[in-house]
Amino acid sequence: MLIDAWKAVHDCVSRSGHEGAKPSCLVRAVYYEPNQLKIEMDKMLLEHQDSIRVMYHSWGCKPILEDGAVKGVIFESKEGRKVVMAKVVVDATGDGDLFSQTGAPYKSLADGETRSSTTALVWRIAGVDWEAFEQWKRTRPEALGALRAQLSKVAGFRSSALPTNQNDMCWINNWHPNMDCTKIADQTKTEMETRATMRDVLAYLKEAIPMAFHNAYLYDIAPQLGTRCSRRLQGEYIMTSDDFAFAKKHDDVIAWHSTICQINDCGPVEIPYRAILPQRVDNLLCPGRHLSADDVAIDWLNLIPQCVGTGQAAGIAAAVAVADGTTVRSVDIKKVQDILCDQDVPLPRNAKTDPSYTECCEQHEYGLYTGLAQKARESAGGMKAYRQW
Amino acid sequence: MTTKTYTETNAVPYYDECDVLVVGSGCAGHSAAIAAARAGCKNIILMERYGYSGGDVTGAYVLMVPKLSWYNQTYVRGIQQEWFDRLKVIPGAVLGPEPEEVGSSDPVLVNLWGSYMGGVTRPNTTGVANNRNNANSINDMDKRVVNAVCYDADELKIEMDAMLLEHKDAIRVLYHCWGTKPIMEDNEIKGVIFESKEGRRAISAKVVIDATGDGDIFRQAGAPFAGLADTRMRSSATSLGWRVGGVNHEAFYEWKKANPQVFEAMRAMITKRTGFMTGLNPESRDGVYWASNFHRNRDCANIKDMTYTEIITRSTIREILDIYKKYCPIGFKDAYLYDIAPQLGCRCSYRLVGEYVMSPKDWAFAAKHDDVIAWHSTVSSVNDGAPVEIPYRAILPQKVDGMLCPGRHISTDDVAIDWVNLIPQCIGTGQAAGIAAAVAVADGTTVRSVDIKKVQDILVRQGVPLPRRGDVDPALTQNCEEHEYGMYTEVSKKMREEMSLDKDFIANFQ
Repeated sequence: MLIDAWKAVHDCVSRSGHEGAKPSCLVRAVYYEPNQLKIEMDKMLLEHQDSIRVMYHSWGCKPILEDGAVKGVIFESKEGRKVVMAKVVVDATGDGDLFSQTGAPYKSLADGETRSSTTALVWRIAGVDWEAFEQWKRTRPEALGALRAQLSKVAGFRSSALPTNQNDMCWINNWHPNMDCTKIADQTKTEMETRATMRDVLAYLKEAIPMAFHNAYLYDIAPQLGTRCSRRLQGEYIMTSDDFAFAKKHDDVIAWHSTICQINDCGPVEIPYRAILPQRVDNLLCPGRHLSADDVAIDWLNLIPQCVGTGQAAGIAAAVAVADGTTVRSVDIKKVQDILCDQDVPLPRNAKTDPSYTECCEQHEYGLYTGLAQKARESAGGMKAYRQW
Repeated sequence: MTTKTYTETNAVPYYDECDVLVVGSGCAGHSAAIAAARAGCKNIILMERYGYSGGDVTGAYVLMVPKLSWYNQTYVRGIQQEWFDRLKVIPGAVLGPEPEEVGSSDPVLVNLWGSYMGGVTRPNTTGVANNRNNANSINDMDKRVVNAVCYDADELKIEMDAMLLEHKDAIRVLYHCWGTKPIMEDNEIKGVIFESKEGRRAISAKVVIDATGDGDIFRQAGAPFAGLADTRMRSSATSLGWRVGGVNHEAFYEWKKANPQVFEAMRAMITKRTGFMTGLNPESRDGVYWASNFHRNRDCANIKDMTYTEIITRSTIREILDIYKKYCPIGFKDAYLYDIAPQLGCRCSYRLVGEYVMSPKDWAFAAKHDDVIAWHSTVSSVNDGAPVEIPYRAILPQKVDGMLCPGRHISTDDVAIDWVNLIPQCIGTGQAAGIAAAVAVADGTTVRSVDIKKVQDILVRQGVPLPRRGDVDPALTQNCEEHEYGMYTEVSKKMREEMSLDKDFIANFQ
């Protein structure tokens, strides 16, 4: 009954791994309202106003380097071009705006065949009856494929209607192929082309599925571009499909996340500290969607949970390094991991973490029962050719 | 705070070059680019730091424009009117009186439009500002309908892009590019440096239009400018907008009319609890309201003030909405937070001190300018809202060549800024700047020496009414003369009597 109820909500029920031999189960996938979240994120900052000075409307654009170490950042603002000096800099720009100017190795864009090498401009539609849409989908499975195709045709690029935390609202996600979210022309094109067909897409939905969309109206258009991937750090460790296919273990694990990767049936993967640590450059950490992964694995690690997780670890590592008078390169990683656990982040092989997490992994073979994982173990090339869309 | 500096030494690569570079695609910049294209310029770059056009309109949710008319004539037309003509075909995208309703005293119409911000007005012979909607006045007989229009921010984002796409042969749009610094050669501006995800780059241009709203470019070009507005004015306050959905508009209006003191007390309670004033007004879609607030003595070009405004406003939204729901359930029981503006609400920070500095004198004396580029009824009560002439010299900097500065950083003193930094004046001066730039480039002259008659001719052809023209409806001037250009107010009479202008005197009445 629960499965049936949650099936309607994108990704809340597991897809069948291992050729459908595993039963469907509920997945913790959560929806939230972005404006309420804006208020909450500010509240979290206010709780720490004795330690965190927030500078909104300031665009960090260039690192200041001295002997291979970052010493601060130049930023633009309405007060002009200014500098902030710091002992540790955390590049959380998502596109490596800072690390790409330090001499730290990095790569650009993702593989053209992966989800990440696309841009989006998201918008929301309200006045919807999503339950009615689900009914429609269930009773017309053959029409669903046609709907998706036609929706994309009307938009001019792949588009999909997805639910939110409210029955009367949905959001339209899209994928503009071969776009680089760090190129001005691509950013502008994505913005303008998406807005140019919005009314047509809404009109099509109203016409095609009146029972769900006849009262629908444009709710809002995202004020920020939807970015997935552009530059990626090539740090002290580069995550690849092998991390998933072989359930690799890392002593410096900072996040232990179930992901959307189907190689290990979405089982948890270990993200090491070295995946946010650049080569060659000191005093810099790079959590978030530009973390160190190859152009296939980036697809499974540049999502919000991994950004939050690697960000949380980067903040702790920076704090520990400064407090201990060490560098982020030589920080006491055990100390960082202990603090992570105290901050309610479960880590493997850590006495502070509930053993049930590991038991679950062992019980389900770390998800390595899939055909894909089997193939990886058999072939010498590992997962090189695997793509997941 | 430190006085240390860091010296950068690297060269900035050029990204592109053009004839006319417009920095900022808010309503002034967007209008400038469109007008320049329509005036024949084929080589325009429009640069905007956000991903969409409209600035404070679409991003900060200022969802109405006031005082487009005086008595029964509408003075603000041009691109402002075009917005409405375009949005009209989309249900709920725009809402305002029909032309024949403007200036009417019909109680049915007055009652209807009185439920919208600035929808009705009463003759104000004192010249003292009365910012109330007068919705709660018992005597409706002397009220008349004003052409005040509200609209939907997101439909407007789409429409503004559609306008740009119509001129894609002439206008190259660069979204996500923050224009930060002028490139100067002696006193002449040659281009602008900007930041982007591609790095720091430059654009060279024959004419630069600074439409940043805060003089980001002209402040660094050597043009004289002034800071902030008089702290008693509306303009020296920042804001962060937000929207509410599910409001029962009719019920709320009736409740306000029936309970004016309770409404006032509720607003006072909100101001007391949060520390700042908040107003809620309807936009074009039924049940959706936008909030504007006033954080006094805050500078929208100061990082601390901008950050403070953002954080403090967001931290009080839930409380404010709860107060409305608790004390006016008839209007707000189904109300919900619709969203929070992605841009800061800016009124005024820096102002050009240009070749002409507008002041309350322009209103009190109904000043006439040969180089008039906009003839707008405004929110000023000095002349009871009568049209004022905005001259070209109010967007022309002193000392610097090759640059025009339309929009909310226009050249006025710190009292009059309150009456010309609004959306209609941003659009109007933007439209004129675009045409002037196009004409100067086509004629091989400068914006300082441009043929202003040619510019005015094109403005009128683009649907912008100007005074003393044979090709403009004479009813506009007749209306002004019939009502003495609003110079019947006591305030303006006193000003003309005294001949000298005491700023404090005026400010006390605004």
